[in-house]
Amino acid sequence: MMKERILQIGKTGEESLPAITTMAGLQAWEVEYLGRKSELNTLLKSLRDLSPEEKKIVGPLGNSTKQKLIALFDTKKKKLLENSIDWQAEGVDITAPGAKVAIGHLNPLTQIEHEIQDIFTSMGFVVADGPEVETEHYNFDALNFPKDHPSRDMQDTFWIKPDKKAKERYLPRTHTSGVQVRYMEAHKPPLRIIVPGKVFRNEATDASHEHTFHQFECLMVDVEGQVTVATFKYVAETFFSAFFGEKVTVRLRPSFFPFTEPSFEFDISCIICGAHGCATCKHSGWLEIGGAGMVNQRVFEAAGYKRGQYQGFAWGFGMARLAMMKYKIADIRLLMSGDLRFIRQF
Amino acid sequence: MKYSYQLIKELSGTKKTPAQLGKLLMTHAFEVEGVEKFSHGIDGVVIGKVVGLRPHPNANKLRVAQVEVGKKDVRTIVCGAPNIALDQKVAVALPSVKLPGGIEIQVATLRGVESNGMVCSAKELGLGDDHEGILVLAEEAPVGASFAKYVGIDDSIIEVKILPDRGSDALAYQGLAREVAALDGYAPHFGQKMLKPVKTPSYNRAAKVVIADKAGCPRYGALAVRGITVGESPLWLKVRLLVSGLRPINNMVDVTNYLMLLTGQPMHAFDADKIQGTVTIRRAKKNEKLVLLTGETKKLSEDDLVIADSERVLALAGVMGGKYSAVTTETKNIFLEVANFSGPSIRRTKNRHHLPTDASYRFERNLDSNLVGEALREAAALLPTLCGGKIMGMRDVYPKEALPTKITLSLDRVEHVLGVKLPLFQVVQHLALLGLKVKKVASENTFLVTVPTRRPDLRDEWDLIEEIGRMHGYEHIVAVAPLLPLIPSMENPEKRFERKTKEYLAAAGFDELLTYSFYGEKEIIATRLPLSAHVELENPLTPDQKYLRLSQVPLLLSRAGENMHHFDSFDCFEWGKVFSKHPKNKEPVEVTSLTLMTVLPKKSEKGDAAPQAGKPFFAIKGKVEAYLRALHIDMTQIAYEPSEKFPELPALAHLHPTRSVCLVHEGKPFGIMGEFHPEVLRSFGVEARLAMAGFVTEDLLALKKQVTTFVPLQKFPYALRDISLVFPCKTTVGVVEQLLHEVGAPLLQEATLFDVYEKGGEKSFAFHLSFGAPDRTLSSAEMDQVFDKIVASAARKEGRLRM
Repeated sequence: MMKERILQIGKTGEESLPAITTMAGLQAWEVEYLGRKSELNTLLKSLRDLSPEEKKIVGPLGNSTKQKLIALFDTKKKKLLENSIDWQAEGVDITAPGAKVAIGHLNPLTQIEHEIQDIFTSMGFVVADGPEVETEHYNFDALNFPKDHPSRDMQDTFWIKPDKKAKERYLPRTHTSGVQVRYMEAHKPPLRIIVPGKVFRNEATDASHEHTFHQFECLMVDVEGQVTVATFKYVAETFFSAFFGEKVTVRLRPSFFPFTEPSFEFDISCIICGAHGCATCKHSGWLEIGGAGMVNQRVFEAAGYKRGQYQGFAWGFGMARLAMMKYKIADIRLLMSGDLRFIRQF
Repeated sequence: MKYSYQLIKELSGTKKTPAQLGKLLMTHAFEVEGVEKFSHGIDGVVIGKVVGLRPHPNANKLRVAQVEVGKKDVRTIVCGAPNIALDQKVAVALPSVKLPGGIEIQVATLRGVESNGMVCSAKELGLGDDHEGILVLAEEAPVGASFAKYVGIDDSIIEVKILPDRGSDALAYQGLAREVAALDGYAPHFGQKMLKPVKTPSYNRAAKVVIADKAGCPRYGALAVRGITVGESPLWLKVRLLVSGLRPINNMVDVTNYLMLLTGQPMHAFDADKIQGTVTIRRAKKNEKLVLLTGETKKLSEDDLVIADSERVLALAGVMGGKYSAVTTETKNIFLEVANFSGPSIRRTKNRHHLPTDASYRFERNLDSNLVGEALREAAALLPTLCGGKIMGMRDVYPKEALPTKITLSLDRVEHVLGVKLPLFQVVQHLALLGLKVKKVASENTFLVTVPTRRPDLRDEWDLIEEIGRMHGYEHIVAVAPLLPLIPSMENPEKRFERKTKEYLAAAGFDELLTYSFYGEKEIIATRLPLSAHVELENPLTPDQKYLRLSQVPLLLSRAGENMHHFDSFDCFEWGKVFSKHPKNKEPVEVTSLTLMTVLPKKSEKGDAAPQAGKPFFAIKGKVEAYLRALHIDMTQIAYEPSEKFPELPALAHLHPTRSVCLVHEGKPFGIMGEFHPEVLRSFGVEARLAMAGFVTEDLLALKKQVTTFVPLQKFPYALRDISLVFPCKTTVGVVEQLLHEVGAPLLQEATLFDVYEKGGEKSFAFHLSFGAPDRTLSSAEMDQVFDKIVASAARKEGRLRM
């Protein structure tokens, strides 16, 4: 008897729901089928009077019917709420522009600098810094550029007009390498540093030359035998592979810098053509990147280290070149043009 | 330097092609700047034989020649040269050939006779100035062969960048050939070949030589040659000079130039008849003068090394000769100087007098004094054959012979530096090929290496390791990961702060501009900066880039002005070093500067409730305050002071006097901000809708709160009330705010201005006030009390509550 009644309540409850169109109607329905005084509830309360056998059958049925009706009620309620809003009137023109929020852009050189820094610091390198107006001592003398020697012509140098009272000769640094000696004077190996910075050369500007450019220097020093030419190749290849996101190999060619011995020019395998030869690499498969070498023992001596005790490599390259390669910028002068039409592309 | 491939091949014996040679040099020795065919422009010129010659039927000055240019190929050519003769071997340009001078040869009828080509003069072939007659070749010249091949001008040029370390040996054919042979794997034959000693007569007619400055002149050699004839050089010599990038002049000049290219030793020929008494190498005396070859008169320095005789200074040693003793076409007897001068001295003289010459270029690279002997022998062998004359004597003053350097080399160190283990025999072989003597010493794996004087760049073990490394080939050194202790990368606080600031500013809408560190007087004046505080360049690129920037404002303002043509409004910044002269010791001082600029739209878009909206001053102020808050700088420690309080700050001069402030911390200004002085804007042609702020970043970093400490959250709600106070017009927001906080403390938590307006000589200030206490909800009586206190104290300042 009871079982049939429960089934009946479930059925009529379910069947009467679709016809309801208002919240008030739904509330009345809720009172009728799920309220405290509803028939279903009353029936469920009277279960305790039944025999155990009957309880076993009617109990679960009553509960599942109640759960079913609750679920139906929730769904219907949601639907009614949704329908209560005039969506067309509420609507916006989704193609109209969003409220303007200004975003700024970092110069591509800065972005490249940050990328490079992140790779090197992840390998345990420290970012070091030095003055842009450097003394002749740190820029040249300490780096084994003898006075009155043509090696000084390798870097066209601006000089600060000497003041009668000034003791030292000053110059806008021609490279970041002056920081090498400054840093080594203050620290003992093992050391791993990188030095990003602005440098200056007294040369006319064109699409690929600037009198002001941003250089990146890397110095790694340890006791003799630890940091070798082979280590340099490894660190350089690791860095460039990380920077370009593909396997890059490094080629060394003999060169000369007063502050390194041996000295190299280094090239990387062309990332444009995969070293097969293209216009960018002039069909050689290699791109010229920068200069490098094993720190000259005379530089260690200038920093106060004992000759032959330490060994390490130093290398430097222009960040503009990497920025131009990465973003395919045709004219180096754009980088410092201060033109927002350029900056805002990055 | 440009090297003729043919000559290098001849001297070194290499079998490599020009391209292979270029690659070999690049991989193991030098930077190769290019390998190219020499463009002589005389392809298609062939050797011909004059087999018939008759007068031109219609012209007196012309003749009609039959010229054989190949087997059974005889051409009729009309020729006007007076020196053409039967059986001569000549250079013939056939029709369709275009000569270096631009003449295109065509079949042409000259006064009724058809001419099928041209018999060329030296000038027409680009081989000299002589165009009086045709170029007559040696009898054995093969008919029909390419003229360019025959004279050896069909050559390739290998351009090699010789860096300063190798200037002493490789800026010469013999030096480069020695290198090529070594890289090819064998010692060059000419290294062993000893030139015959110079034959001199029993008498010595060469002027006596005294070296008075032995430091400046380690060796002075000279040849006296009598009875020379200055004239044109033979074809082979002209060709050698041309392919090496030099212009032939006359046999005397050409032979010294050629010997310099060949050996690396510069030489200078004096007219021997102009030399009086002894030739002395000494420093110039005070006020001595010299008229150079070029005619220019130089006042000499006492540091200049000169060649002098008993009468006068004859030449600036190693740099340039004097006009008086120069060789002319009249010269019969010469005194040929083959000497060695100390590099630094030559370089100083060259720089002092701005005289970069081929000779000074080589001497400043410290040439080998033993090269003088070889070059003297080469000169003695070549000069008489080219210029005629007889050697009448020789001098060679060489007070202290240069000796080879001895270096101890450890095989372990080779491995330690290169990171690759090389077998002993290979190390020895690499060094031996370069002409170094290697001797094993008692201890194992150690050598004594003897370096010839021609390689002064090899001074220590590491120099030798470089030679071994490059001979071995760097491509054979494999990358090896270092085995190093794990050390965390220490952070650089300044660089970190720089990056954080840049990233904050970009996120806050600022674009980063980079500008140059140089500007000119124009910018300084336009920005009203003090000229005397600027660091000045001695050798600027242009006068308008003469000063190091004292401020980023001039260039940033001018860039902002340009950008205002393209963008209605924007914010930008620059972070970088600025420079000034130390007021006392005048040395350059640099600090890192951050300059912000904000440009407002052309018209203020809306009448915002806040009266300051639309004014550039408040736009920059809001942005600066946001930035300082982002740095967690305690704003209660910052004071805004009128800029007139700090007249010593030079940067304030470009700001609007009554729309600018100094940001001050503990009495010290650390930043400025405001709108620009109208005059500055006018100079830059920029509209008055922008403002700037500037900081010394080191000061900002010092202010930056390093660690933030948590403050417990407010448990009891704040109560809000508005207040509107009326004051006399001169009263500022700051004064009212101060009053509110002083009187309202400790219950007043915040006072936010939301309206200001002036009416009838009075100013009304409206604030939202929020009251609260950490331990309770305030009662309305408590708030009333504070409120009344505020009103009472406003009254003491001529203020009242607006009803």
